[in-house]
Amino acid sequence: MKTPRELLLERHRMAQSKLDAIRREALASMEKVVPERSSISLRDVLRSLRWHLVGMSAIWLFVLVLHLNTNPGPQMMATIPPAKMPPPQVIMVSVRENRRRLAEMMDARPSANEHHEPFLLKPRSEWRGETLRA
Amino acid sequence: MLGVAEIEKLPVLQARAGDGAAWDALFRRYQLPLYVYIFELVRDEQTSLDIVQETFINAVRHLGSLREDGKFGSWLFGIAHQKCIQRWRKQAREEMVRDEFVGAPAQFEIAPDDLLIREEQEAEFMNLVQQLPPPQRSVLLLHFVEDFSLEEIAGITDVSIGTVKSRLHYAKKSLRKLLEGNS
Repeated sequence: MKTPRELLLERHRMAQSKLDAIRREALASMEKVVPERSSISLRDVLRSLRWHLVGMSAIWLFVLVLHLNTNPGPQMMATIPPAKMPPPQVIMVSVRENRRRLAEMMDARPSANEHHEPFLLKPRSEWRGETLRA
Repeated sequence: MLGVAEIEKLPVLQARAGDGAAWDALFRRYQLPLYVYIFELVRDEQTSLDIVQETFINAVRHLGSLREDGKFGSWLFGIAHQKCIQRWRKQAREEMVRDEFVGAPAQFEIAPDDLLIREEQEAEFMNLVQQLPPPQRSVLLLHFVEDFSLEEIAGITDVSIGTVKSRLHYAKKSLRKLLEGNS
């Protein structure tokens, strides 16, 4: 007396040697596939990132160039050698001279005691008189 | 080889790590039951051996898709089953059998090891298995060869549990008729 399982397996036991050969073949193909897959995966990752990295590098270069072009001040200041810089007194004198010339051109009379009346609120009737006088 | 009812400790975890010895143990464990299942479905030795090989190669490639290590067996049979279906479709030999879920039992009526076949019944048993329509034959073989649960058989054959119950019910009814007639 046999169970269906025993009966079925026994009927096909003669295929065992062929199945052993198939198993060995499958294992051999696995040895080829598995290490290949692990090395390919790293390469694939790098390959998939290659255009991304190139694009990002180009953008960063562009940003750097743009930054250098639009903000030259500190660099230019840095290029003037300290020996050629005039002393602060000379700079102040030239600034005052420039201011005086500007005032002359605008027909103004700069004075040290230049006084401005503080703005005070007045009734509307006084505003009218001032306007007419003017 | 271990009996189907025994709890097995299969080296699936080691196989996931690419351990060749683990794969060898797994293939050794399943090669004959897998072959029996495939042969009884396709009835051709060379085709059966080809499908076993394709199943092994697919298993190595797609082990990552196996969610539970404990279901390695049913997962492997599922791959083999799909290969058989592909062959049938290719050869246009698939029998379209529409069985319905009518009055199917909730559980298996008899455990695979409870059914004993006398020597004089062996040939008739095999004939009966071969005469069953492929869907019924498939569930009966999965039940007998590996004692898979209804859920596992449903997963392997890609049908509902109700359909599995129905197919198994009709297959066993035919089998019982044969065994009673001979006793």
